[in-house]
Amino acid sequence: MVKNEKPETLIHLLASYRHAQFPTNQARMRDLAGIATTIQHNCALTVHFADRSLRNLEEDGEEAFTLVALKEEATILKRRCCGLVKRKRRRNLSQEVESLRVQYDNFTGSVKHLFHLLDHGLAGRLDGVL
Amino acid sequence: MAKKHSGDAGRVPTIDAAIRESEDRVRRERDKAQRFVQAMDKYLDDLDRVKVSAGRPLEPRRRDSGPFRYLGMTMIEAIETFLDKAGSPQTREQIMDEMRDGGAVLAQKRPEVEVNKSIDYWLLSEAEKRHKYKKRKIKIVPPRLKRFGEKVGRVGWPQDKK
Repeated sequence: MVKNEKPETLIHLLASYRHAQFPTNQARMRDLAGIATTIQHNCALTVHFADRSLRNLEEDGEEAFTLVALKEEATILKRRCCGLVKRKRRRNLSQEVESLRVQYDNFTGSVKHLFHLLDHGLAGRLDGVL
Repeated sequence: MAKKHSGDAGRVPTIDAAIRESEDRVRRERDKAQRFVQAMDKYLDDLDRVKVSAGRPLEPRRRDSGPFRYLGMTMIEAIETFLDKAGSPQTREQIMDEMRDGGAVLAQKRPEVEVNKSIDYWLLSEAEKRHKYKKRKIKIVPPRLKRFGEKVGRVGWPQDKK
């Protein structure tokens, strides 16, 4: 998924994120696949960044704990998006999009919290990025 | 043949660009203010140290009011300061309002996420944290907050504290 984008710093991570644009009206299958691909990309970046940051972790702290929790959240969301991209048909498309929106919203909230903990200035730049 | 205009030449700045510019300026000013508050706090600390070395009693800090009373503090320091001042357990909403009012939360969108996640973390027991870290051999930091029913208080407070 993320071949050349392996963020090593927070600013690199911020620059690598893509904006997931949810449809405002009736969602189509194509829309869902597009959003799922973008979210999958953002989750993969987050997992990579968390793995890298946690490599030499020796002491617990709010930042470390947030990284672990965020990695877990990103892994679950990435797996869900992977399934959404592969499947061709959906029974209740609008419900699927709505539930994905809620899950992604929680994920972006956690990303913002991490940014607030690690770099207050950069956190302000996250608005509209994810 | 008419000469083509370059895309950017003579373009009027958009509202988005103006907002972004203002945001950047405000952020720079905020960072500057934060650095100033930190420098003043350091100065007060130095003066306290001088007073202690001269054998004089310390006066309480005059940082418990104003819109920047929590500026430069971490979220948990701000929450603990508020709880100490209140003297009793507080609801999440009360803590949230105080953090926003005192400048501890700078997030514009969904600021409650920042406060609630901090509260959640500092409420966790060592066992809960160890479970989350799984097999990692790491030093666990003890909790600093405690649940009092629906409310949140300091970890050292007795359970019947109202």
